[in-house]
Amino acid sequence: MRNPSATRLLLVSSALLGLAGCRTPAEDRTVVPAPAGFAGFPTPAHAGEVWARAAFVTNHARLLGADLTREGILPVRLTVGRRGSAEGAPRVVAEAIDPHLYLQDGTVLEWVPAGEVARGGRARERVAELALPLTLLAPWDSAPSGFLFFRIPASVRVRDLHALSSAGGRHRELRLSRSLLAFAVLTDEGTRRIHVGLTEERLPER
Amino acid sequence: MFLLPAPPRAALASAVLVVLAGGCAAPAPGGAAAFPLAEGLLLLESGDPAAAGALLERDPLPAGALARFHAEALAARVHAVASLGAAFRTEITTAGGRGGPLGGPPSEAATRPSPTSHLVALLYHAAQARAQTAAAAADQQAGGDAILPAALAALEVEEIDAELELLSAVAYARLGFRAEVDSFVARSPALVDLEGFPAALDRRRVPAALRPWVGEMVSHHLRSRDEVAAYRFGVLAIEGAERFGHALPPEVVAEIERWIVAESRYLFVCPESQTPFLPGARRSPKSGIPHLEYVPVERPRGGGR
Repeated sequence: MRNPSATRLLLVSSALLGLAGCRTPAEDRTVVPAPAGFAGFPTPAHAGEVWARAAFVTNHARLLGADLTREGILPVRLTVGRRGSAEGAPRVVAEAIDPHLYLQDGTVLEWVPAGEVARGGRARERVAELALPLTLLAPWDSAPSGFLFFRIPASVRVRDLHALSSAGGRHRELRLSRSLLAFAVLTDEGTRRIHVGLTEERLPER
Repeated sequence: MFLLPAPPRAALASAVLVVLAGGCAAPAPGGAAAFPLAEGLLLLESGDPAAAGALLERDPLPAGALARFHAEALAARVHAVASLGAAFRTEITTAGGRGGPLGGPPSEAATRPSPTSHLVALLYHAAQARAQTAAAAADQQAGGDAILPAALAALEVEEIDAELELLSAVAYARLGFRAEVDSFVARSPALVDLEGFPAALDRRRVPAALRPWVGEMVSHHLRSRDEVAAYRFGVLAIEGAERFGHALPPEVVAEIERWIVAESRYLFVCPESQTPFLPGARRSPKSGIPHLEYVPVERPRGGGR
């Protein structure tokens, strides 16, 4: 009996290879599947009283007005809040946040300010509206969410929930949900760095 | 540090030249004999994880389970070493620098080494290797190690698997994921035995600079189970970090010291002079007895916790 997830994986890998304009694995590069035994990083996660949850919204075009992965941008929805007291006034500020996204093989995706994402029209407005708010952290139960944006490097192709990373003599098939987000919040005592795993989200169809 | 004695400089240079000369050739076919395991190992042992990493990425992975297991395990070790002050991956920091709110233009950007990228890569390669442990062990039983470099053929697959599990746990600890670390320590009784601790690390070939991290994660795990043992592993971690060139970040050392001084239910004091544990010191200023030999006494009321 055919395994539907294996079939799907094969289709996605083929599509990614097609996008990458690569030769097939039978030629000079092998495709290394994502490691089966790696469950990814915890989400939500916390550092002290600061909690965070990060998600890749597969159909984010419904919110942002465009599929940004086609423009070389990976949007990540981040929820960040605090549990316990507000001692130290933890807050998200542009000077400290310094976010990075690490794909499963460690490939670094650099942060792109919202103002540099989506060149025009409705998407530009939506990106500005839905970017991560700069604010004092709210209690975790009512913490707001917002998007951070990361530039997809030329060596990486993204399709649906997968990425294909190419280096040296091989391609690596990666799961986006095994990625790691790092960022920092500012407190009265200094910056606090937080690592949180990425999860997958799909908005309900209308 | 890992598997081989330091090679003579001339031999190493020759090996590297051979490797570099091959760099322009077409990718090697998938056999273990063609994959540059020995050369990668030499480069790593000589203190050049960047060159070792580039070499291991150059060719397609070898076809056999055992050779592929070793290739991924070696890549995991490369990233473990690189994450400790030898990072060859970089990232752009924007700390202190974006001009306005998240929509504003960058006013400052700088490239810095990215140990986090190496930690994530370590976990990736360790998972790739460990997914093949059973097949690699079977391959080894069947004599498949005959085509491996001697230094690798001498190692049992299960031993390397245990080494990779420990390296992964340390990576989780460094990223702040305590639950993953606790679950690893809980199923590793050899690590929580203070006397057997060095031998357990030797068996897993843990690099010297990573050992303070293992002490830190064992100490942290034991805080809710055995505070006296947690104290001793904490002191081991602090002293090891100093010995191996500040292998723990200052904030991690400070956190251990804070727990000892203010959060443990005990005060730890010199058995002779009764002087308490002193952050930043290594022994009693009066008796000279090292912190590791301090003893627990009940903390007076109002004295912390």
